Amino acid sequence: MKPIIRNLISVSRRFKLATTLNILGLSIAFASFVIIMIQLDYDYNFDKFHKDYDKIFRVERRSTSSDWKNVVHSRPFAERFMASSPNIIAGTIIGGLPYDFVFHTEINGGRNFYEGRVIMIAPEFTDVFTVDFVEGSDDALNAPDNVIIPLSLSQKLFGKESAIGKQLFVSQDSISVTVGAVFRDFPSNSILENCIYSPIPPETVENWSNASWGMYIRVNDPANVSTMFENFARNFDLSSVVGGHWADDFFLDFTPLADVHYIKGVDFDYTPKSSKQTLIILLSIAIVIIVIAAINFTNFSTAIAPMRIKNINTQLVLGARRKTLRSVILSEAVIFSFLSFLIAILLVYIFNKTPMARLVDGDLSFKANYPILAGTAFIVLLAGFFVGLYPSRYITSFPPALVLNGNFGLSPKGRKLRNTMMGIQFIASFALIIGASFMYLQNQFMQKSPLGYNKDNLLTVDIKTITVSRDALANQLKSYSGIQDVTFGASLLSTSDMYSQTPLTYKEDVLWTQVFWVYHDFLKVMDIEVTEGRDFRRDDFYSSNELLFILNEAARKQYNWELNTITTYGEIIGFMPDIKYASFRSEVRPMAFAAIPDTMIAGRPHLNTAYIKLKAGTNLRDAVSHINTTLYEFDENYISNIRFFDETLQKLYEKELALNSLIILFSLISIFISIVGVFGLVVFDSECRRKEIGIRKVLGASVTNIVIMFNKAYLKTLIVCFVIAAPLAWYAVTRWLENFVFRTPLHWWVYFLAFVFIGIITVCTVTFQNWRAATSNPVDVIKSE
Amino acid sequence: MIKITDLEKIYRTEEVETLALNKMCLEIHENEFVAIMGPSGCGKSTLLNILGMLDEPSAGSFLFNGVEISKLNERKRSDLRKSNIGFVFQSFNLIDELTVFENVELPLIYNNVKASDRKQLVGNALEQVQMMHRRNHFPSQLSGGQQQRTAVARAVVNSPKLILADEPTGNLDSQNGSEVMEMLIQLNEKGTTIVMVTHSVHDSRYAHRIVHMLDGKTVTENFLKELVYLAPNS
Repeated sequence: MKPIIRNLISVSRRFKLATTLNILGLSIAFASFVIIMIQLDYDYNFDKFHKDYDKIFRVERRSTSSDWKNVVHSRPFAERFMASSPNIIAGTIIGGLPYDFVFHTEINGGRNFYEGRVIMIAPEFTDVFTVDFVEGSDDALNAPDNVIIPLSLSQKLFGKESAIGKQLFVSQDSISVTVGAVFRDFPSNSILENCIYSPIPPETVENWSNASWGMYIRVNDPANVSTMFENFARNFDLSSVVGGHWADDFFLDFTPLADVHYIKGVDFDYTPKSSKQTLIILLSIAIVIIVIAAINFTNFSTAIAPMRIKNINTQLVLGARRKTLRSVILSEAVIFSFLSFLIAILLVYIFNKTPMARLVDGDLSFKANYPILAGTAFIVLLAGFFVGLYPSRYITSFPPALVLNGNFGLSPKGRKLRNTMMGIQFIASFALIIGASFMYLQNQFMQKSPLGYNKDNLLTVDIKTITVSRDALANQLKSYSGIQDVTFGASLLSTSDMYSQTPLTYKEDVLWTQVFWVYHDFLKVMDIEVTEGRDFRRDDFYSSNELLFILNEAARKQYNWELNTITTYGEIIGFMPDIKYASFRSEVRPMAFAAIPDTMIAGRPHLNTAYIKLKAGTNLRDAVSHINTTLYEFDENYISNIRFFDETLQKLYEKELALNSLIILFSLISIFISIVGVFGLVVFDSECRRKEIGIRKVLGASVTNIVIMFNKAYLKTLIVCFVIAAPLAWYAVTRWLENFVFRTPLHWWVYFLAFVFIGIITVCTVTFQNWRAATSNPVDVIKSE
Repeated sequence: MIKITDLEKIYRTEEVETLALNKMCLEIHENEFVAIMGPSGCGKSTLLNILGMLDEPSAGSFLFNGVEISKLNERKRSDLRKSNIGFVFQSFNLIDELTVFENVELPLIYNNVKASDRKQLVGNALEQVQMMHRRNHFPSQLSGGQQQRTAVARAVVNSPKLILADEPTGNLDSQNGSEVMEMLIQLNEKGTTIVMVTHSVHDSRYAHRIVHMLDGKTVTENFLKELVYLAPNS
């Protein structure tokens, strides 16, 4: 063992750079693998912490004729369905739209204000989902004034004191609710939020018109779920839920809880999403990284073999058994691999301390990931074993006498194997670089491509607690010279895939349109052009009693309605281009801006989001200070929530951007490891062919001749690998881009640049390495055998 | 053709300084066949490397056809070498990945000979060493003798004026060894100057002159045959 380690150390010293890069490559590969596995584990186990998670389903309403699905139902309908089948053990409804509000606690006479989120639930919530109560019990949900809160919120509000019986006061109305129970926080990989849950008010029991409740059921036999709706429909008059002719197009679908995380295109589904395809790509990259690192390691071991063979075979001659020597070399590889794993753990620890850790949803700490670490350690040992298998057989496969005479070289078979492995690395590098480039382009596309309106220098503020008229508020805000304009909308544009659906009806035509309620100058402030007809006017907002609509092109195309068509809901006064009012995941559907006359909403303003346009070069700090001061004047309990619209939009794609960035990051890492491998191979190839270089020089070859000869050979391999990799990458990228309705074009130059990039790196490596061999004195090598 | 005067070659390492050639003087005439003999480490191979312009002397003069070689840069030495000198090594030094034909063709490629001419010249050289039938074989598929015959063909394909042979029969049995020596004699008879380093007394007898070296210089010279100068174009 000792001489072998000594030999390994001496080889490492001789090829310092190649050895260091190999160890580093292997360590980075294992670290990347661990990080990717943590992310995959997070997504794979989404909502699997519930007992019987595989028996829990979300119930969705589907319309086949208009090809949509949504997740909201009316309470009486949901309750009737949940009671309809003995297969349903428990069912619950959940408020479809979380409600953000400001509340305060009163401790020792002082008031502490907080912003919070409330979701209304039925008491059966705890029969369907697994809720671990730390204080109190599920009985708390039976009292209408009670709420249940997560442990983290309890600690934030009341410290170590018991939260039970404590009151939360809703700021404006001085109404209070009582904390009835405290539950242990749901894991972050769950559709259930860690917020305040309150029981559904009893008055909604027979409210058929309010379809805003999500429905979840826990069943006895998941295999029989599909027949439950048919049975229900036989005994229930669906036309009591929807208009007569809609009843024929009313279906229910049942999505297993664990799949909710992946399902897209369902209206009013606000649960966090992930894409299975993206996760599969991530998993593939994890495997590719390990394979590439293993190939590098095998290549490295076989490449240094000529320098070790003599030593090993001397031991054979002196009586060592071949089998023993093989197992020693094999354990050396396993030890090497395990050392790299230890370095990898250190790298994961360092990664966790960097801002890049935010790209990973899962907890990167060691204590949260023992199974993943143990699994990776097992893979590491296995990889070490397989990686060491070939070199151990190869090094000991020569007849000792031949080796001691010094008359051996790398066999053509061995060289072919190493070239094939290098080919795999090139193919992986090309495919990854092309894939990562398109992911980067798609990320840029989602962030940078025009939305059809001007989002620059735009701040948004949630003003739902401000009851003053929007006109007065706008005037007060505009008194600061740095504010160019102020307008209002019902919510944030482009941040949701779904706004309220309204069936605009004219004669026989029913146009399901998403309606976004706005202030009269919204389009002007946002630079949205009215291509035909007119924009809203101030009078529309304050004097008119009619609803007015400006439709997008998608809406116009459906029935070719003309200007001034008066629908059942109001008049169409203009048309505008198809702005991207929803996310990039969904296509532009019929949509309308609507100015709702203030007289129609009794009591309080309905436009709850202020859009504040700053002048270019305005001092941001002063502007924010002015906005805050203004809003405090109107609501003394106002909690500042000014946001840049740009950043809000970016948040919309946070998950996609994070996953894509992870893929780009790990693609770059695996490209780096590949290139390290290629570098190592070139180094050893030129080392092995030093004699050939010497002979060629003796026969008259110049340094340029030799460098060109090597480059030609590598470029040939590169071209073959590119031809294989490009269609593979094209296919993978095309499939992945299917996740998005708005996609970056498949630019040809990405392929070209990928080739040029890998080509330049290869040529530089080959030239640099062979230049050294070609300029050395041939006399030193031609007699080396 | 070759005139070396007070030639020195010193190999220096951090601790030791070795004098491989010690003020050596030697003159070799055109069309001469010279055998260089001596014990291991006496400087034979060093001398051959310098004569082949593969190595530079540390001091002294080396005239090749009247040109002072020690003053030439690497490129000029390389140009002079590839058009004037052929090499035959003890270990053949064929390139494993190339066929017999491709191995023999290499010096012509580096001399920028046209492809059509190359085919002809390689064919002639292989005919000369009776290896035409093996032209598509790889070195690993040949016997030692066949490999050395290929190496000889490669050395002569460019019609060099000088062939430097470093123990050309060292790795061959006596029959193959004799065949290679016969080839060298034939080349010499056709006008090629040959300088051969050898340990074999038998092989040295083929030469016109034997130069005995010890400790980096000539100790004795034996003239075995009279040198017959060939008329131009003979």
